[in-house]
Amino acid sequence: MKVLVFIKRTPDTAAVVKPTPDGKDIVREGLAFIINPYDEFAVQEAVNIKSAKGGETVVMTVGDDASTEQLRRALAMGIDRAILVKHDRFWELNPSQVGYAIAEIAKKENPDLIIMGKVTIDDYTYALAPYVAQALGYNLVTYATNVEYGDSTMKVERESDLGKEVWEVPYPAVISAERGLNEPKIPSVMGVMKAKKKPLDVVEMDLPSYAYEIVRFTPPPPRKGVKLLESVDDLIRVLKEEVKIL
Amino acid sequence: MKALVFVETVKGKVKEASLEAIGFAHMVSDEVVAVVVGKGVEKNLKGVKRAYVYEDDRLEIPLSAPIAKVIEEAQKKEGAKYVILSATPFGKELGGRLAALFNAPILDDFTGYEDGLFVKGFYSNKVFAHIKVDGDMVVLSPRPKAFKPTDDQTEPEYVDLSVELDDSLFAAHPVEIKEKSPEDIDVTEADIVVSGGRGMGSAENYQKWIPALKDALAKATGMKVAYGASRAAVDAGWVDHSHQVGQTGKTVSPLVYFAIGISGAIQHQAGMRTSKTIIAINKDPEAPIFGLADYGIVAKWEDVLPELIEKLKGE
Repeated sequence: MKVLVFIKRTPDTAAVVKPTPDGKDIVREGLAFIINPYDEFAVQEAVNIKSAKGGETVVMTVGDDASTEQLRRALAMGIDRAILVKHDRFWELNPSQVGYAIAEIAKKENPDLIIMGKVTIDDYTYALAPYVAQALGYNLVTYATNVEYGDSTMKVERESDLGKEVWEVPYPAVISAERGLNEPKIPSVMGVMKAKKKPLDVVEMDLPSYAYEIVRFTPPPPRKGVKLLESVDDLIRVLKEEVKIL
Repeated sequence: MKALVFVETVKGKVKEASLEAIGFAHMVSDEVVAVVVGKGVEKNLKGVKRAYVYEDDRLEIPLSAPIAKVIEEAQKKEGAKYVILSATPFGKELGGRLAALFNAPILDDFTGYEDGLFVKGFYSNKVFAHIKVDGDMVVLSPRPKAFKPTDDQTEPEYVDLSVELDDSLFAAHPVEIKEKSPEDIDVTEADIVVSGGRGMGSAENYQKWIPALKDALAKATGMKVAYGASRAAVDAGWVDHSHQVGQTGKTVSPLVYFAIGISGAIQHQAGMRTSKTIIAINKDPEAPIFGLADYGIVAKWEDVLPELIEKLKGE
């Protein structure tokens, strides 16, 4: 089985993110970057599939030169080779442009399975996996928490607002990973050494252009500050008179 | 400018979030039309000029591949500039498909619209992006609870839509659904979220007191109440991760968010800082959650919850 994984370079979840003085971007200096946590589940899943069933694993991103750091980490986790679709200001792209890039690479690579996180924690889009499935005519299952890989179909557990679902999904397919899909492993020293020698191709691609612009970033609206309450009676009064839910 | 709103139904029932999407559509459009898909769908829409109805037994619960095709048919007739759908879990999936299908830019899960710009929390709500998006067609999915249903009482003309849906569109489908009880409301769709964290001490404490407060609030307010958790509580196995609020969980903006025994790490704040009112109960006066909360009680939860639940029963 051939598996393509999409990852994105995002600031660490613990990072303090602030707008630049002109508001056009966020302060990027000094930020620690990671593989988008949900994409990390996708990387681990591909590695697990390969060790169970063999085949080939490919990781890709749309990113700047610095994004090779995340690709190398995915290689160190056990992915075979990497593709960087180069874009110097990738964080300004619309999800449809990123989705287009993934689909274009997938058309060349022809994987049986494409896996990525359910959401990117930078621009908070959930659109990538479904975009790619639609663009390629692949089957789709989102928010996957457990997958059994059969020969022609997968059995996928997922959570929806209805409850817990089990889906039957024929290949080729796109999976979006939910927390719980697996436990990503920290790469071994050996893995890191091997990753340095694995192939990493850099690709230039013309993306569709859209009238999409982040005009400015602002800090979150300040909250009004905490009012400390002394008793439960006080809280009940607040719920009645100020919050007005009772 | 025209907006085509997708109305999500489950077992025929229209989702509240879709009515909010219609409400939002009125902010950007002077003509709002809709497409309703499902089985035995309710016909109770307001504020919509025309509503296309596609009924199919296979879509008693929504599936994104065939529904994208139905929306494509409705859009062929309407040529709307905006295709709008609520960012429910299903809507977020369908939105991505529509963006690809229509070759359009997408903005999903945004929470505001001010001065012609869309407002959306980026980097887990640590900053807010003010976004301009335009084009012949744009896919927009407002977050549930972020916008209000419209006051416009226009009742639509209902038009049956006929679409040939190939079986291949149903190739990926659920074979088993363990439905959660109707009271188990998703945290993203609740009016009130009651969350517990590490400070609750044990699974027993969490599982006894958080649902008890949830039920008491639901009875006292008549609102939709869900229970949530911090990552620590989920990692400890006290509750399923579908209830996790935070950067690697869900992002919520309820009317009221109760944080109980939650210190308020930056990752948790990311998931709940857009709540209208935040009430924190924590014994540590230095807990970061008090920097965000509107109301706080510095106390052990054991000294607050039993009394609070008892007093809510009297309301």
